[in-house]
Amino acid sequence: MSGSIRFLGLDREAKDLNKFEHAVLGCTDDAGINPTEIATHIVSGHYVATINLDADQCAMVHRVAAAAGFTTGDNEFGSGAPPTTDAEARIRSAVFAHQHRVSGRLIRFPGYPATLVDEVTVSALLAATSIDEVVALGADLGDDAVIVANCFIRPVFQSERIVLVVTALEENRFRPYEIEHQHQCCGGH
Amino acid sequence: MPETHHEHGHDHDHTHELRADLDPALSDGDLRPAELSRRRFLQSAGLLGLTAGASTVLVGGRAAAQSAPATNSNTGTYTWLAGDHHIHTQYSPDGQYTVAQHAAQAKRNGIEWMVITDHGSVAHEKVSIARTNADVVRARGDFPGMLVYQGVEWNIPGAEHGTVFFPPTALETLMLDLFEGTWDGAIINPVNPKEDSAFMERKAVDAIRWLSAQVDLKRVPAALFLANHPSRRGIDSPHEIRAWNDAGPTVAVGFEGAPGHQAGGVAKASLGPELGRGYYDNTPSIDSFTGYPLESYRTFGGFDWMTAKVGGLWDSLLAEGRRWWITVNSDSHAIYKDTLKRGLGDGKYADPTSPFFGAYGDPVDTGIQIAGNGDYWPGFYGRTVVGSTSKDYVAVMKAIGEGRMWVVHGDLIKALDVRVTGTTMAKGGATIGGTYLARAGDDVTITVKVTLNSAANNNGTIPVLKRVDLISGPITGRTRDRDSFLAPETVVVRSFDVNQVSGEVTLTHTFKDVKRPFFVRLRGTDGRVSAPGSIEPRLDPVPVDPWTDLWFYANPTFVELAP
Repeated sequence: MSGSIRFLGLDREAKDLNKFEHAVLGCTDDAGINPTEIATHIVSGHYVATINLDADQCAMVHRVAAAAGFTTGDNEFGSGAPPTTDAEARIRSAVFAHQHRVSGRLIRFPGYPATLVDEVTVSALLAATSIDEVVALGADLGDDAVIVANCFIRPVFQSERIVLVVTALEENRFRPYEIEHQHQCCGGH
Repeated sequence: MPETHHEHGHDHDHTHELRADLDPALSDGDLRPAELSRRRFLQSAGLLGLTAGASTVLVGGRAAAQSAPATNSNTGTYTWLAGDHHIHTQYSPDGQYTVAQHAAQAKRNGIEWMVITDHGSVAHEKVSIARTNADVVRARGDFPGMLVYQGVEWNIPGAEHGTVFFPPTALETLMLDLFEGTWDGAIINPVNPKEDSAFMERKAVDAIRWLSAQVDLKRVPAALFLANHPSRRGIDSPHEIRAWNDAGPTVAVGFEGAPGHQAGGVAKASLGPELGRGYYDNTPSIDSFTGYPLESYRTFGGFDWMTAKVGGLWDSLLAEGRRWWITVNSDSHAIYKDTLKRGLGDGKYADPTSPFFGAYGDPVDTGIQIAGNGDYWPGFYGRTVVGSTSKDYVAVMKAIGEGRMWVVHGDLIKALDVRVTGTTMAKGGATIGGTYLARAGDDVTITVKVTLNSAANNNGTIPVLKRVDLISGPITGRTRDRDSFLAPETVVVRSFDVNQVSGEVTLTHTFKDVKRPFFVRLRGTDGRVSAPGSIEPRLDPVPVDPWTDLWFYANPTFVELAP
């Protein structure tokens, strides 16, 4: 199996997306690998992460993640058998979504380092990353439009494509639909 | 009320069946909310016996119907009172102002009723309710002419926030305390997280039933629940909203058509927070209803997607015949460009050992304009204008419950009069929130009189109304899909360009040969921006100056068909 592409799913009954994201990235860091694709999913009211890696890396991340309290599973395990736990069912659903690029929110993707900038044009973003398309909600957008990235880009899978959804700022400038620091009501209480 | 009764009660395609509201065999308790509402209307119009009994209930002739206006509650004259039902004080963990400061500012902005709604929490329930009440009672004395209600911003179990309030009585604080202590989501947070969603949704329904029961038992003369910022985080699902309305059709009566925090998208360069109008900058989370589109998390011309989207969620409720209304409010926490900052006790609000548990000290003047605040004072930017039979606490709540309200940003218009009339009911007709009873084949005319605003608003500019849209859709009965948020037959039926800048504008439209029950509502705009290639409101960009994109909305008038 070594060398074949795996999709590893991680579930920890997470309720807070930022903390979950950090915990997942902690696992890959601790395993000493830098996967090209990591996605988060919302499945049945839980956050689940999926990582695209080869079989050797998969085994390493699996060990680290299990030690960190994650339930894990990949697209090879349990083939054919029905899931035995809610977490396993969620993981399978998330892995399927990532493998078939149906849905999911990417926190790492090919070209990710190119998004760690304050601003980038649409054409430069498309050229430097695996993002297939930039879609503006409620506004028109051209290739020369500027994305104010603020070092935080989280594109999503939509119909087998990687799409970055953005909303309008002023004068041909846009920001990602998902921004890093969203308003916390009641000061986060 | 059981959910199983009379699935076809509202379906216009089933006219061969006796409609539930006309069925003498069914008691009031057997009816769905809108059916009961319609029975009440028919009763008040003299078209239906007050007791559903063995004797015949229907009045057949046109002559009888024409005698109805004298008893039609929709034809009276009303006192229109601007108000705000969503205001935070030093008794919220994220608030700072005194009740008196809000009352003074509200008065300055022409507000005549206001509801203090600090966040529900353990600290609020234990300490703030009583402290607030002392201030509220004092404000009632110090600001004669201002109706100052004390309410709570309820953490709806399993959902967003909502305003809950009662009129002042000897039981005022007791009722709030009972409600909050029993039903606030922050207090009843369940132990077993796996049961969160369904358990919490049931709690919300139980809470609204409890509110209704307090009115029925005459413990309070009135009680209202209005959902706040419903689309902000996508967690008020369509079925929850329907469940609230079903649980208390005279109590759970609406949501914010536009959220507060309207300066939330103002540029940092202009001392704003530059986050998003209404602070609507969130994304779907594990708590969100998965059916909502990404755009629903943003405002449109300052208004919530549920309201702004024609043929969307609000219209889907109206198309069911639900009496569900919209409001606008300030959600005042910290005022844009204000110089006051939070007083003593910052960080200690939730600390039971602190003297500032549940209550900050009065705010302190820094002498400089503080950057990053996103709110306006009550009435400064948004108003909910209510047509009340008199200026008293219970009457205003009754008017809100009956939907006799229109809402406006930036003083875009000064006054609004809506009359729906036709051949059947010659005099008076129905106004906003009301029900006009027509006969199949009638022509039904809506007459709208808009008083334009020729004075400067709080931005120092004179707003100019450019267009009024008439929106209408058929009432097609209860949907089987309780998560529906589409009413595809609801459309803008006519747009009126407004070509004058002062005085009164009269707009009329006639629905010819009406065959189906329907509703009709209005919106108007200063017309400066819109969605690309469309007359629809624009998804608000960031930054955005809220004074450059102004709208008003009116609640609907219903046209029912007499049997």
